Amino acid sequence: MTLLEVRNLTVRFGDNIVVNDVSFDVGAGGRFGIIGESGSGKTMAMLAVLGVLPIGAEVSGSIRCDGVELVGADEDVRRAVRGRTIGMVFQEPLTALNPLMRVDRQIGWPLRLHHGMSRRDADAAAVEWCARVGLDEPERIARRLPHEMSGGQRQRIGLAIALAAKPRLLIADEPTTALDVTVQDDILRLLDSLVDGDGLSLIFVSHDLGVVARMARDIAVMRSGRIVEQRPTGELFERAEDPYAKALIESARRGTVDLRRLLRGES
Amino acid sequence: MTVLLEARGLRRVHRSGRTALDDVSLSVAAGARIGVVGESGAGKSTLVRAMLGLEPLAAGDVLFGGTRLSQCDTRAFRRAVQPVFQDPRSSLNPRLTVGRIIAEPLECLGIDGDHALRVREVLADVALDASFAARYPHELSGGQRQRVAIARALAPSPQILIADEPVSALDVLIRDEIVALIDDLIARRNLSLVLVSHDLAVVARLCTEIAVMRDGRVVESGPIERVLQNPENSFTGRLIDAVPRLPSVG
Amino acid sequence: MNATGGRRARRDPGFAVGAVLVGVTVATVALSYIWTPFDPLEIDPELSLTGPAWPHVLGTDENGRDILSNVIVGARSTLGVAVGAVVIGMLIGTLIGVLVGTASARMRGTATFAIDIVLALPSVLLAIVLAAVYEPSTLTAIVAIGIALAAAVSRIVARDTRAVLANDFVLAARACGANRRRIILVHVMPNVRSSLFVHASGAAAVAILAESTLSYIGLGTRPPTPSWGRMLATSQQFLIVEPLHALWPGIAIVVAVLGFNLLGDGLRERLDPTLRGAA
Repeated sequence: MTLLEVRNLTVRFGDNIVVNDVSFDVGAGGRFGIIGESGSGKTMAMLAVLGVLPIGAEVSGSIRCDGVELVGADEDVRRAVRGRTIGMVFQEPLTALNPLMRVDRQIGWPLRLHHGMSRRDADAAAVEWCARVGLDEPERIARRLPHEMSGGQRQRIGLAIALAAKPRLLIADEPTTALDVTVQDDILRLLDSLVDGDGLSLIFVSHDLGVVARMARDIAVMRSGRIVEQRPTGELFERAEDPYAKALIESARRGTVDLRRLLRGES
Repeated sequence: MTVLLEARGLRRVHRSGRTALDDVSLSVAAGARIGVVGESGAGKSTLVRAMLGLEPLAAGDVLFGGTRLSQCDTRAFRRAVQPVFQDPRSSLNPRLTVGRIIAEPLECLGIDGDHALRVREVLADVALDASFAARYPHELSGGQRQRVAIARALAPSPQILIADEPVSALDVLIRDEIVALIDDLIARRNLSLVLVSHDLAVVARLCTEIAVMRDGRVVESGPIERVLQNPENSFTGRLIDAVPRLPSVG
Repeated sequence: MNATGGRRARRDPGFAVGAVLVGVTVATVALSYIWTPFDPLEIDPELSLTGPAWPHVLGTDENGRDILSNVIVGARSTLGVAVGAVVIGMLIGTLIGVLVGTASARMRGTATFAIDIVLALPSVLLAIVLAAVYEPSTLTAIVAIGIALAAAVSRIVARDTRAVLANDFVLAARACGANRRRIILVHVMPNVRSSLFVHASGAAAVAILAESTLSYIGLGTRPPTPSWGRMLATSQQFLIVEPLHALWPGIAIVVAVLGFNLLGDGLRERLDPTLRGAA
């Protein structure tokens, strides 16, 4: 059964339609990428899936997770899905983490909430997760507060929190955009290994085509709330038809070509 | 080759004790196009401010035309060296019209001539209609605001443009337009360029030389092909490797 | 997406309510010059301490003076002191705040320390000191409250100024050779202007309360000029006989203070989203 089925999803704020008739599927083990610029609606669509849209949002269409309809469902139903089946990592680690709560407590909280673990077991599991996301001296780091770490470290914590409750689907919304290029590389590698290791499905959202192409096997291009093109990754680069999608690809290509030319010494 | 602007052994330490710049030297010759790359916290923006004479230094000098900044004609220096900043939201005063924003260097530096005419001229240079002069920043898109920022830098007819991440905050397609604009303007007006960026692809497109910064130091510098093809420093190698590549580029 | 924020602000009743309350207060002052039910100073010993009854709708005080008329005219001294103090506080406070905000780090440290000392002194203490040197009067109240306000306003304005200075357009201006004066006039002031209205509203609320306090302890408007604070004080003595008398000046003070506070909060709501909306 398809893990996530989105059909004709529309999100509006009064007259302002931010997500317009969006449909896609993510199967077990699937890797789906969404690329779009600011204002494309990509983040709103993900917030709709999680059921955490801002007040005033009107949602129509269908979002089925594991066969359970989420649009119009009770908050209880959505909360059960959130964290347990779907986890999410955000762009800005500093604001996504509670600044006043120790890291191990933040990682352990979904474990206690969804899996009924005791405080001691959850703390221990949190330390294991810190190690798993590649943090040095996990026992020490686990007791720190978010602002005492670097951006890359915080994003690793964000990943740990999202994955600790063992969801089946991870949504990553611009997880590396705020990080330095070398750190970005490390985080993407980590994400790769965690997703493969745990057999997770992944939705990777970004404005950076190169990064999305690296992480996803199918890509949807969003613009002004709509999906203007959707294809398997390789096909997208060869056979895109929508003019906006083609422009994005062309732009990314030019950048890479310039760089490669210099690196290879071709003139 | 005439050296227009030079940083020699710059050292800047914050009150907190953190060293932002440590023995940094950079030489900008006439017609040079230097890219300064590095990660956040490497000191790139501090270097930009220092080369604009806006950063207190613990040691080292910035020389304009061979003369120390403290001893040279400040007006001439400021006319010749102009900045373009990253964030289109904070680089334009929201309370001023575009026309006044662009005219500011002309006013402050006491430049003669018809300011309104000059404003129209540089607006045309950045491909904006003259009617933009009456608008306010919040009425413009990110790309348009960045064009205004560039126009402001061009107004006093500078010799050197120092651009600190000029396209990083823009949408991808707009980024291309602005990069092309900068490329064109530099060529047409024979400007020197110091471009600070974390994006190697942008630097590759616009620059002929490159300086790699890390933790307040320049770890490697030289002609861009040499540095990118045969990086001597391991950090440079890591930066190059970390750039995401596209699949099956022809 | 900003439509949501804008609509939320408009639906927020605070601003409207605040505006109405302030409007009522100001209208009362205006009314006091045109008409009052009775001459507030007119004594009528036979009607001492009566409760609400026609024709004295709110009753009479211990001297037989009409309470309603005194409340209406009392608005004058309260608002007069408040406006005077706010003007002094905003002018001096803004000037100092902007100068401190644009000063060097070391100067800022010293100045902030000095301001904090002034802030620590309640306006009441200042008023007492002034009253000891000069006669207590409306003017000493205005000056004392004004100084206290100036200290508070200068801190907020200094912070607002620092926020403006952090923008790249200030850096660009410095790179064009703009001097401190130009940066203050062209860049800082226009961007700090709108928040000044918010600060002024809050300051007015504080000033009204402070004036009432000073009048209450006898350091404000001299008798027999009507004043809400003094009315509160005298009504205390007669609480057993006529408990309602304390209510009227109290309500008047609450209406004025609440009005300015709500107005200030409402203004802040309206101004902030607009600024963020530019993004």
